Parts: sequence; C-alpha cells; structure tokens
Amino acid sequence: MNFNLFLSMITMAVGIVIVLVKRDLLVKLTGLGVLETAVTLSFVLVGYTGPLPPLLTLPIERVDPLPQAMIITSIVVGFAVLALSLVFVVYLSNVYHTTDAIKLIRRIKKDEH
Amino acid sequence: MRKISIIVAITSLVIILTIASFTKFTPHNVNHYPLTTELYDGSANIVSAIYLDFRLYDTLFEVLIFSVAITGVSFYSKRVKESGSISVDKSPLIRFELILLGFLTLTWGIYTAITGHLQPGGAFSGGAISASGIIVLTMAVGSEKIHAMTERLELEWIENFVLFVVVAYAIFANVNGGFFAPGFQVGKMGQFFSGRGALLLNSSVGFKVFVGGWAIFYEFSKRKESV
Repeated sequence: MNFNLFLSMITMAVGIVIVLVKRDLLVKLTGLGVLETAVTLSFVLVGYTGPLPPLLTLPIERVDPLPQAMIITSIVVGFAVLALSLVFVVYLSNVYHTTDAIKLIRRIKKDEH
Repeated sequence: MRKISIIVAITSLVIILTIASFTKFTPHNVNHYPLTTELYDGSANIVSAIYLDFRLYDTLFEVLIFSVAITGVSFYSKRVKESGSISVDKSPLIRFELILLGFLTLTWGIYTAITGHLQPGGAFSGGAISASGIIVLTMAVGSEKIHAMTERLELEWIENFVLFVVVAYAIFANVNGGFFAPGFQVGKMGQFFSGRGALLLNSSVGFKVFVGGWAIFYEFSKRKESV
C-alpha cells in the first residue's frame, strides 16, 4: 500500500465532508479548495518516479512529466471556478444579507411568494 | 434523517477511498515523453512540451475557461455596489520597499513566462507571479491610482485576442503539417529560440493569465467591504 497516497485520499475525504456538512458558503468553498489540493497531491504522488524536476538536461531520475502537465489544467480551472463562485457569494450576501445556505434558501423562497 | 444520510455518505466515501488507495497502478512507459520531446519538440522542459505541443487543445480550452471566468466575474460584480479601498502605509521607507518588491515580482513573472521551455515555470505560473506583483504595487501606492491605471489601459480588450492567437497557432500547425511537421522550428535544445511555438504561446498565454488575475483582483478590491 502506498501510505502517502492513502493520506492524500484522507485529505480528499476531509474536503468532501466539509462541502457536504458545513452550511456557510465560504466554508464550503474552502472545502472545495482542500479537495482540489488533495487531488493535485495524489497526482503528484502517482507521478513520483525520481527526485529531479522533468527537464531533459537532467539525468534520467526525474519525475514523470505527464501528471504534472495534466495538473496545470486542474489548477487553472480550479482558480477560475473559485473566483466565479466567490463573486456569486458576494452578490447573494449583498442581496440577502447572509452566507448560510439554509437561510439563503428560506429567504429566496420567501421572496418568491 | 439528514444526519443519517450524511453519515452513510461519509462512511461509504471513506471505504471507497481506502479501497482506491490499495489499487496498483500499471506504469506506462516513463521514457515516452522525454524521447518524443527530444525528437519532435526541442524544449528542455518536458511539461512545457506536453501542454504547448502534444496536448495543445487542452491548453486552448483551458484558456477559454479562464476567459469565461473573467467575463463572468466582471459581469456579476457590476451588480454589487462599490465600497472600501486599500489604504497606504504611512512610512515612506515601507512604501519604497513595496514598490521595489512589486516591480521585482513583476519582472520575475515575465522572466518565468518567457523562459518556460528552458526551466521549471511556464505561462500560467509566470502570469500568476506577475499578477501578485500588481497586488504588492497596490499596497504600495494605494488602490485609487492602480484602479485609474486599470481603467485607462483597458487590457481586458487585448487579452481576448490571445485566444485567437492560440486558435491561429493550432490551425497553422495542422495546415500541411505546419508546426507539427517533423523538425520544423525545433531548434537546438536548451537555447532561447527552440521548442517550436513555445516562445509565442508562453508569452501570449502568460500575458492573458497576468491580465486575468489583475482583473479579478481589481473587481474584488473595489468591493472590499460589501460582504
């Protein structure tokens, strides 16, 4: 068993639990960040085949370049999603004066009636 | 009822993750990308060769997603009223040091972006470093000056053309082999002009990420006290 990979999976579970259980939208976004970091960590661990960075000028004991190239996409997309959802949270809190998910649903339903 | 469903979900999640961490990965040929990079691309940085050459469409749609996010941020933040500004430190020494540090960070980001095919780094990390340089400069001279400069420069118009640069590169690369023809523009590995379109793509995508990060910071710092 790869113990480091197991630890990254535990971090992933912590992120999912925060997203599921917590009611504050900002805390939920933090949990999303933890989840994303754990995914990055697991990819980096899978690609660890040597101690050196993936440069052709270095000897053969370098890390596998493919997971690193894929994780760049994940980091940038995560940044974009975080920025966009933060704007939505700012907008909602400006209109309904709360960031609590349950209260938000109640106030939106009250507005509709 | 809600608590029970959450507990069941978490327990099943932990079990699935434990099983997943016991699975063995079949290793692919680790030397595949180093060999193809040496033959067909010429970049010293293999990661740069993968995301600017072998998986170019990945990068294209990544840039598209980033564009959509910036457009969404500036569209929805127009509906929140502006409040608050970033004040400046009183000490002139600290302000001077912050200006120095900001320009240093800005230049370092540009260097990281344009030499992405030679060393660890690249367009996205370089753009992010440059954008954090802008944040340091905002702390040095105050948000009013930087906001006035942002509105005068109108960089968001220019950064949308970066998408067309990447699309034009992808089309030209496929016309009669183009950039993807064997040996085209490969150069000598480790030199500045090598790695096919790495210089063009790194600088343009780095510029885009820089302007995007700057725009997101601008919109958020204008509405600092509205949450």
